[in-house]
Amino acid sequence: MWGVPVELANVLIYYNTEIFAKYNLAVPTTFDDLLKVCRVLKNNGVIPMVLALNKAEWVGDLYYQYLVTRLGGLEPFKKAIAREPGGSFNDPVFVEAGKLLQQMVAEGCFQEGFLGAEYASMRQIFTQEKAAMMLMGSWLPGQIASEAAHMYDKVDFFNFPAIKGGKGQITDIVGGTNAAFAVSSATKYPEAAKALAKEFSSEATAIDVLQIAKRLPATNFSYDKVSLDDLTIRVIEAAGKATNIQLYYDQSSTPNLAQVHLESISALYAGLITPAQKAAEWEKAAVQELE
Amino acid sequence: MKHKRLAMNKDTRLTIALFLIPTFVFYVVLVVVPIFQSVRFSFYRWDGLGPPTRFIGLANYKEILHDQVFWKALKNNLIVVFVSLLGQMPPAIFLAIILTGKIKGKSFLRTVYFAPQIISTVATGYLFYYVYEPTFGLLNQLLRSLGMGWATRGWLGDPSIALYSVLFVICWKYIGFYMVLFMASIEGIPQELYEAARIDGCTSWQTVRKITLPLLSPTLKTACVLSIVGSIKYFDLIWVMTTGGPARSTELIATYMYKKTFLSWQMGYGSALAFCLFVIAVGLSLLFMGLSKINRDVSE
Repeated sequence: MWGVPVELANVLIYYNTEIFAKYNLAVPTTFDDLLKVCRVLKNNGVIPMVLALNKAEWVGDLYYQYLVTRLGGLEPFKKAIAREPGGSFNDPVFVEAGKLLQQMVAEGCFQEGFLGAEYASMRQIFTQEKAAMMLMGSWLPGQIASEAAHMYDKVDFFNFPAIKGGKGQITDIVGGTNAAFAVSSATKYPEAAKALAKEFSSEATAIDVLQIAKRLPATNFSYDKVSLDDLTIRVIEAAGKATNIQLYYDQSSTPNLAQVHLESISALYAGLITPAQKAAEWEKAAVQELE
Repeated sequence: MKHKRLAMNKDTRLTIALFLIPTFVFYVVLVVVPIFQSVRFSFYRWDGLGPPTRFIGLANYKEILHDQVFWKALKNNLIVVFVSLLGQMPPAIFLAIILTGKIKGKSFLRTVYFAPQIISTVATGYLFYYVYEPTFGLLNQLLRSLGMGWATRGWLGDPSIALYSVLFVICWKYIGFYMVLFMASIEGIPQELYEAARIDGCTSWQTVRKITLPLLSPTLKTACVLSIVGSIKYFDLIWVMTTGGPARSTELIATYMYKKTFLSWQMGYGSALAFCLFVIAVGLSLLFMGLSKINRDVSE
């Protein structure tokens, strides 16, 4: 199989600068600060972070991936998924991340009833300025520009805060390939496939991805040829500054393991299972699937 | 009877055969063959790519017996069966009796009550998603404006009520269908019976109880079988509104089967689930028909 990536994405916390200014809030750089910011917003009747888990378990998974990455870096997941010696989803890092996640739910960081909300209403709540923050991939600014252009200028972002004592750095990013073109190497038309792959990885495509969709292209491009707004430029720079990239857990797993993981993430948010149970379920499925 | 059959000439038989063949071919190709195929696949461990090669006998079925999600889904399916029967049949009968009686605006009301049946399932799902939406949805906004803020919740997000939230929509959608079925049946009841009853001085409640309901029972039986089978293999509104979430609280066998087959790519396991679903649906409808037959024999 041959393939080329077309669009990349990095996951960041997007926030409403006007709401932050109104309550005199500074961008949090530690997890404790983030919880403090959430408390202030909640006390003032603003939804701190908007979340949606109905048909969108992947949105909830982004928080979990960041918590694991900040606590233990990239190693625990890499070792567990590769079944390396000492690698296991029962690693304390995965349990600890689950605990912090449930703490965020308990402290009211997310809006009421988020388990029943869909991704579309998540964007609506953010663009109607009822919520201050939204953890999302870098495709979000493009969606805001087309759905609610009037508030685009109020949007800024910061990296997911660091956790005290954690091994991960604040510049480690969760993200990955968002769109790719792939073709079977047994194709009858290798020349046409090659030409199409070339087109997808050309600078012209990169510029379209940037300018029309406001998304991150997977190919290099020269800044002279595009006119970009400040937010897009800084999102690209943030991706460039990434010290490590944690690829999405679901995309890095076999289909069934990804399903098991996403289902248990949803149960974790609902408080139906403990973080240790989540880790154990995940490990059990990994043993069945991968060993 | 025997004479008639003998008398049926060749032409008639040919005509009957010609009329039956197209349906029969489609039925065999699209229903019978796939059922046997999926039974075959259910004996394999197969990811759907290439031909199935890893024959594992009954292992998929053994796994199903120990699969907590399957039992959870089956329990949810039984809840769907009971709530659908209780939530759809009585209101449908009630509406059918009212709308076949003497009231004004009958045809308008018939259209109104039948309308949910015509709206596409996906549109219905989204319509009610925006009713149930936790932050700006119609229902929570209404409760807040009535000063009942304590009653607001994530209607589709609370694992203990999500299934009932979707069930309300399912009932809303199907009452109209059964209403029309019952109306047709009620209109087929000979008027003489009602006239005789009136002459004998029956109250309208007595006519309903002694004439309408007993004569409605064959249709009611059909409606119940339709509802039971429909509830066991139910998929669409659940898929549109929750895809079985949150945390499996609205998972049905059909949604679980879909996830295993097309999201986890466990074609063999998915096929085994499909066959279980088939057996349960056939079994339950046979059981229901058997029970109602015993009932009838006893009352006769």
